[in-house]
This record gives sequence, structure tokens and C-alpha cells, in this order.
Amino acid sequence: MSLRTIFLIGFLLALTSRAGAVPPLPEGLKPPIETERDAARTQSEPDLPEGLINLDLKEPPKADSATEVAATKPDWRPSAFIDTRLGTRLRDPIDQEQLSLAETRLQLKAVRRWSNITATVAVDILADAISDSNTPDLNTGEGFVDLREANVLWRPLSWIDIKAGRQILTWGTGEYLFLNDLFPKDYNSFFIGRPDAYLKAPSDAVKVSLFGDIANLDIVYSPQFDSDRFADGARLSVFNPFQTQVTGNRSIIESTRPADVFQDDELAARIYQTIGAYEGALYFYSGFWKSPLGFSSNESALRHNTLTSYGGSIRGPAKGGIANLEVAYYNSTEDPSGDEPSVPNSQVRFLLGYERELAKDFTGAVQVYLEQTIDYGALTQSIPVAALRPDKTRQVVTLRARKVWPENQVTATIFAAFSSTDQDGYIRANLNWSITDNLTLEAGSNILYGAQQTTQFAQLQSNSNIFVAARYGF
Amino acid sequence: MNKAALVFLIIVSAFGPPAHAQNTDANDIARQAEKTAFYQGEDGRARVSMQIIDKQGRTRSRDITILRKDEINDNSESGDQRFFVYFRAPSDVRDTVFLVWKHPQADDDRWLYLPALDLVRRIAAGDERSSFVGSDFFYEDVSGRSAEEDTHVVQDTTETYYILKSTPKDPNRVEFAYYISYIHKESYLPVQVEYYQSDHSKYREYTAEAVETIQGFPTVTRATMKDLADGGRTTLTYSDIHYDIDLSDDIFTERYLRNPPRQFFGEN
Repeated sequence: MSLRTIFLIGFLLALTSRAGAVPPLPEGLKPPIETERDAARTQSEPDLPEGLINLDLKEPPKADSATEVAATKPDWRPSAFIDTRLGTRLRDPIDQEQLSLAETRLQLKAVRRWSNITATVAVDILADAISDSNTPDLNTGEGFVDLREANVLWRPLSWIDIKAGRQILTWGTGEYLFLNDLFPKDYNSFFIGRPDAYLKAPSDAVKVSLFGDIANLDIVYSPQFDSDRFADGARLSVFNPFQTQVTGNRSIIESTRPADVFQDDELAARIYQTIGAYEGALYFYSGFWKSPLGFSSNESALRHNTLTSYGGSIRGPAKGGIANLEVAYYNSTEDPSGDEPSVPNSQVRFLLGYERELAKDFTGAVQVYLEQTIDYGALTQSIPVAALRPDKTRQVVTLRARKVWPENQVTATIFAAFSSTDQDGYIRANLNWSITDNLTLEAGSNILYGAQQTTQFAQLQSNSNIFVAARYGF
Repeated sequence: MNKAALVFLIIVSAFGPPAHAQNTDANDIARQAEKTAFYQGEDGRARVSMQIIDKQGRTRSRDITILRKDEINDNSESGDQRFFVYFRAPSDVRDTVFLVWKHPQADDDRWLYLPALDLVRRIAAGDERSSFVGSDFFYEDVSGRSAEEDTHVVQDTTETYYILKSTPKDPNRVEFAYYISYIHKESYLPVQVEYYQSDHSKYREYTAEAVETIQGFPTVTRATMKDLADGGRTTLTYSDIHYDIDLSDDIFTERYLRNPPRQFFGEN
């Protein structure tokens, strides 16, 4: 018997014994789908993609040379968008036009990268039919030019980043509520319906970031105080403490801004680290109240009093969502005992937030915010009239729901804030539709209400508005 | 035992199993396929061009760079991975970064960096089977579905493919009743994955359309996901693919969200 014959016999034996050992499944045990599929399978089997037909796995794995992978082409990378929006007030305006928003903005941005340096410039050219002043003021953002960014980021050592120049800065955990983020905000843009990004006003600062194994440290130094772009009557009618009523464009609230370079400076610092999935941070700030809450000595203008703040935050997963806790102590250093009526008292601020996905592409979020005035007894003495006194405790609850229709690139968001202590509230709704990759349409509203004219949201209620917008990016 | 059978046994054992052994363990095949599709090399990068085409033929494009790093615990892969997803286009999302710390056994950690606000947002762990940036791919299709989440059965073995039927262990977390994968026997790359509803109707289909062997790793360079129910489809084209590029852990942290590591993008 030849070897070949033995092999063949053995092979046949093996085959028959295997076939005999497995009885065919009776009809009732065979899932119907399998019978249908069995017939179709051989025909419907996918073709092998090119690259697998003559697969050669013999080529040994090798790493690319680092220089080849890390090569960069130094070149300016330009981008731009045009954004046009139109909005109207929903209530009788107080010293304002009925239109709340009528503007077209062209943003030109360019980024260039060298090996350790990245330069960024972003400038807005604005045609604003509502604003009275067209002369550019780069500090207030008024006028037809608003410089958003002009900075250089340099990495001198692997563990240091330095970003110097005009830049947008953000930290902290709140949504539209800020405790330890004492970088400038633009509340005018926020409440009249400009894009969300314009809530952040730029800072002229140097940011030094140190990265370590134990923790990371950010230090931000602004040689000249960057105040909020706050409601003063020019764009948003607001309670005027000098006239004890809501006033608008005809009697803009005067304020003095600390402006001596290197004298009226700001220092902000953050130490942060991620431990597991939890992000912890400690914050420090030394500068001024970002919006003017105090009064000048002759009581004709508002003032930014000095402020030192300490705080902390933690953020991480909880119960299938994300929870965040943030606290801050605002030490109003010009009024240590709280009895000076022209200076805001010290405060403790507390925020607890939670967000989670409630259904597919639908998220909900809630925040509870408390502002506690320190030395309230002293304030009661110094400001006997309760109506002119801030509340001892201000409480705000916010709710946000967002639904996304990804296949149509539509997002609907409603954000609502209610204050039980102030008896007022704010509803911000927004519908955003990217028709094409370049063109986005948007509609939104800012509804403010309340019983009194002095509280935070209620004083702005005459500015309640709806708007539409279109943005083309390229 | 007769002589013939003895000789047969000797021959078989001498030659050993054939070069491409029939792998009959479905879970083993599924694990190998997951590894091949999502865990090649220690780390890697790819530029991804995404074309989303709806049933009317309208096209949206996304241009993305993905950096990936596998986390190693005690010299054994835990399956945890980190993804840095950087958007280059369209212009309204340029410089946006989506950061994911993937934990196959728990909820992922996700962050989104919005450059215009310089804001690092933490995102609640979401439905893994919802659209990734408006495409027909789900998050899970891009980052990988763990083989442990399904029960696998070898439905058939052809000359080219292992054909696996996979049924979810927790049907409430997914929209499919089961899926059928055609896994290339030689490379273990899933070439086609068909998703079925409980009435056995196929409503979704993934196809690997082009493969290149890069640094010894067979790698999908073009893949399409078809939504058979609504007629849309999305094609991902991968280019500039590199493995084992020595990405450090800190790339997947807040530092690089604010300052993307463009040196690893191979361009400005």
C-alpha cells in the first residue's frame, strides 16, 4: 500500500466518521432564518477588498522614523466666517430702538505654526446698525473692529507652555454661571443674541502653564484690568442706581475702570489634576470685581473694587452622568468688615451641577447656585433701606435640555434660570441648523422676567428679544 | 488500532495543522477581529476624510485626524484606549477636539474642546450607538465594540471567511437583534458586517472597501456604512496612517486640547 493510498483512506475515514457523528437537526430546531440564509449565503458573500486578495503579512512591523511622522509644514492657515443677525425686542423698549440686533460680522482668522511656536490672529470687522459708536475701542470691543485673538504660544521646554497676547480664557465648571472664572465676559453680546462664543471677551495677558506629574499649574497675568463688557444702558436697558429706575441709551451708567498698566493688574492661578476620571482644581484670583458693583466717592459713577478670590472645583462621572461641584470665596478687600455701603460685601459662591443623557441624542442638565453675602448684619446697619440692599442669599436654579438630530445637523437647546430669592428668571432658547457644511441658520430668544426692577434678570426684562441669524464659514 | 490509521496519525501530526487552521471558537474569532480592527500597534494616527451622503445625494464632509493610544496595565492590555479626535473641517468646527478615554467595561470619559470659548466641556457618557458627528457611523463603530458584549456563534466557514452571528448580551442597550460578520480568515479583518432587526430584516451594512498593509498591519483604508432604512451612507477614507509613533499619555489631556499636537498631524 502506497503512502498516498494510506493517506486517502485515512482522510476518507476521518470524513465519514465526522459526518456520521453529527446528526442533522430536526426541522423544528432549525431557526428559519438560517435555512433562508444558507441558500443565499454563498452568492451574497462579500468580495474581498483590494489589499486582502494578495495579503502579505510577512512584512515585519516597524516604527516610522519620528522625524517623518512629526514633520510640519510651516504656513499660515487662514479661515473666515460671515455672520449676520437680526433681532427685535418683544416689549416696549426703554430708551432703545425696537431692533435689538442688526449686524453683520466678518471674522478673519489665521494660524501659523513653527516647531515650538504657534501664532494666532482673529479679527472681527463689524457693521452694526444699532451701535452708536463706530470708532474702534479694542478694550471695550466697541466700534467696527474687535480684535478677538492676537497671541503667540511658545513651548520653551517640554513641560512649559507660554501664551502671550490677546486671548480668550476659560476655566471652571459652571454653564453660564461663573465662580472662579474671573476672565472678562461680554453680557451685552450674551443677552442680545450674538453667538455663544461672544460671551467671552478677550484678555490681554500672559498665561504660563507648567505641567508636572503631581499637578499642573496655570498662572495668568494681565498687566491692565480687563473688565466685563457689562450692561450699562448703551445696548441693554438696565437698573440705574443713580436714577433708581431702569434707563437705557439716553442715560448710560458712568463707571470708572482701573486702567493703570502694571498698577491695576490682575493675577489668576489654577492648580489642577485629573485623578482617575475626576478633575480637581484649586483657584486663586487677585484683581477687581469684574462688573462695577461699588460706588465712586462722589457717588456719580460705579466702580470696580478690589477683589481677591479663592476656590475649588471637582468634576467627574456620577450615576451615568457628569456631576460638578464648585465653590469660591470672594474677599472684597476694600470692605473687610462689610459695613461700607459703597463697596460690595464679601461673598461665598456655591455651585452644584449635574448633566446626563436622558434619551438618545437628548441631554438634560441642572445647576443649583447659591450666593451668600458675608457680614450681612453690618450691611443691614450701613444700608437701612432693604430695597437698596442686596439679598443675604441669592439662589438660582438652571435647567437645560438639548436635543440633537444628527442626520439633519439640527440642535435645539433650551436653557432656563430661575431665582426663587429674586423672583425672576431667564429663558434662553436656540435652534441651530447646519444646512450645508458652510451655511448655518439659527433662531433664538432671550426672555427675561421678574417682579422687581433691581434684581439681576428682572432689570433686563425690557430687553427680551428674539433673533434670527445666518453664518457662512469658509 | 490498525497500521493504516497509525500511519495516518503520524503523517497528520508530523505536518501539523494546515497553515490557516480552522478556528472554530467563535469568541476567539470575535476577539481576534476586534483586536485587528481596533488595537493594531501600541498607538497610531490616521487622517480621516468622511463623506456623508443622504438619500437625496447631498454630501457633507468632515476632515478629521485621529490619534489613538492603547493603555497597558501590568503588561497586559486592559482594553482601555485613548482617542484624540481633531476636526480640521468643516470650518465651523475647525480646531474642535473630541477626547475619549475608552473603557470597554465601563462608561467612557469624554471631553469636548470648543476653541472659540477656550472651553473644555465634560460630556456625559452617551449612547454608544448614536451618530458620530452626523454620519451613518456610530461612536461604537469608530472606537470599537467589545467582543465581550455579544454572544458569538460561527454560522459558517467559507474558503475566505468566518461568518459569525453575534447576539447582544444586553438587548436593551442596542438597536439590533443580531449582526452577521464576514471575517477574513487570514487577516481577521471584518470585511462586511450586516445588522438585523428582530424580524430578520437587514437595515444597516458595513463594508471594508480597501485594505492596505501598513507596517505589517492589514489596515482598512476605505469603509462604508449604509443605512438601508433611510438610504443614506457614509464613506470613511483613511490616509497618512502610521503605527507605533510613540504618543505620550499627556497628549490625551487638557493641555493638548487647548494646544493640539499638530506635529503629529503631519501638517499645519
